[in-house]
Amino acid sequence: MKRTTKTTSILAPVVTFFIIFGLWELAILIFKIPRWILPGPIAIFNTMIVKFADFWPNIWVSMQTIFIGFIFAVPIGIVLAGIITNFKTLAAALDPFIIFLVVTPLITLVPLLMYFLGFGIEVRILAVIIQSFAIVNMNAATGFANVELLRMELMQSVRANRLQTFSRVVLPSALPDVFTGMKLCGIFATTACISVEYVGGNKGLGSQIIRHTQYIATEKAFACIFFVAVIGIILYMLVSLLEKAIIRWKI
Amino acid sequence: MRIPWEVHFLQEPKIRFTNVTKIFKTHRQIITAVEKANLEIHEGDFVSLIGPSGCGKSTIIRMLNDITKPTSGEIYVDGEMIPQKKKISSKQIRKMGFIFQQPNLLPWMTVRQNVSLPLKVFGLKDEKWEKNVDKLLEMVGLKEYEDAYPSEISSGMIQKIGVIRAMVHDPEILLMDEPFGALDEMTREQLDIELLDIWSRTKKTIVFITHNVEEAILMASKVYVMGTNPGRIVAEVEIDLERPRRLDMITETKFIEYEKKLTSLIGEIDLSKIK
Repeated sequence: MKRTTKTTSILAPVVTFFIIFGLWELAILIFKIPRWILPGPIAIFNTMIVKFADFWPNIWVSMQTIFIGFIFAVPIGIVLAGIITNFKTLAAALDPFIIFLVVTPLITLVPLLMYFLGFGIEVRILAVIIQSFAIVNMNAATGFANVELLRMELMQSVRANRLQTFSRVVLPSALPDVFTGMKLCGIFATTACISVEYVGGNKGLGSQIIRHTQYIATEKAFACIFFVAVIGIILYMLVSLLEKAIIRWKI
Repeated sequence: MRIPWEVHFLQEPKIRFTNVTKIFKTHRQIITAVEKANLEIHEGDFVSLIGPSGCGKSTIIRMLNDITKPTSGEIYVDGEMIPQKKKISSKQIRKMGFIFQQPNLLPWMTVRQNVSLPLKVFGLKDEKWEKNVDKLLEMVGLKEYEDAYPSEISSGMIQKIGVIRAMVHDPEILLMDEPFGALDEMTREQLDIELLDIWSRTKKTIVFITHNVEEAILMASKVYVMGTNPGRIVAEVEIDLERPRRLDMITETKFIEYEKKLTSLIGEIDLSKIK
């Protein structure tokens, strides 16, 4: 496989972007699809820019929910994974419930959460944490549990204690898995946030997508969807940057 | 140079195994990795353990280093028994340096950080220890690579780092588990000679595991031959060749005789295994 140069790796997605949205725009022109059913990308981008000030409060609310949820979910997931992998009984006790949290769609819990706790941003952040910490936990636990035996023996050969072994061998070994978990966590957090906003309240991009669709303001609904995508991409890229900054070695 | 045996007789050996047995139980089978091993290794000795794979030679030094516990029997270092239930004492563990078959460097640490790992774990922060890191890096000619990551240096260099890491806390005993087995012949021979040089200067006690007969004879003063199924020590051969050893000794008649003797001992084991 040839190594892709930096220019191609930047250029290729840009070209793909123009091809996809070009075809979309073209299809609308050719088949004369009315704007209120499916607006073209140019119209959507136009709405995103022109009406940005109107969208901003909702973008801000969603961003806060996602980012704060994410910032809580990641350490909770990692610390719990550290505890679970160190104590086998605890692992046996908690594992099924972690899987339960990963596989249960959060949206099933949200109405009850709101019934118990109201409609504030705290409830939405809580929902994001519940939905997204478990995926970090699963990935980190996999990483912590699969450290090469020889490396563990190295630490045993100098009689390292648990903390020394964890910080010098287990955690660095598991970092690639931890970062995979964090990337998935970002995706889960975004999905969770929008799901919660669909269910209740009138703040956030999720609630706006529902509202604009109901009023057949399709362009605005699409604009909101694109904003959600942008938030998701930003979060993903931040995690990737952090990964590059921390993992500087080659295996 | 050699200490007469009368002195050995009076002195407590550096390392002593009495009837050490190690049994591994998996849910499918029970494997006797080592059966009733008895060893006596004296201070400053260079001893080789040789045998086919599965004869328990790695298990012997892993038990000595407390990576794994024996099922029964006793292991003494300087007359002090390694605890059978508890962890080994820090005083005892610091007497030993373990060199792994694969170099086993940690890829997220630089060369210097890798070498310093035992110091960090033992909490040795003195200036003197930092100087020891410098000294060892210079000794193997890798001082200029101290800030490189393992992925950036050659496999021969990596192996040397693995060796000096085990020496950084100045242990009295070096346990080497086929340390150069993964390297090409030429690099291996070169490192063998370098190791002999280090040994003659530092007078450490070395337990050297190999499956290469020639290497065992070239390096050691005493060779323990081990057999499989169950893993056990089948013979003990004193190697009476002059020191310092040189690579060209391989062609000497005496060397070849040792080689024949050891090969036939190992051969017998292989036959008995088939039965």
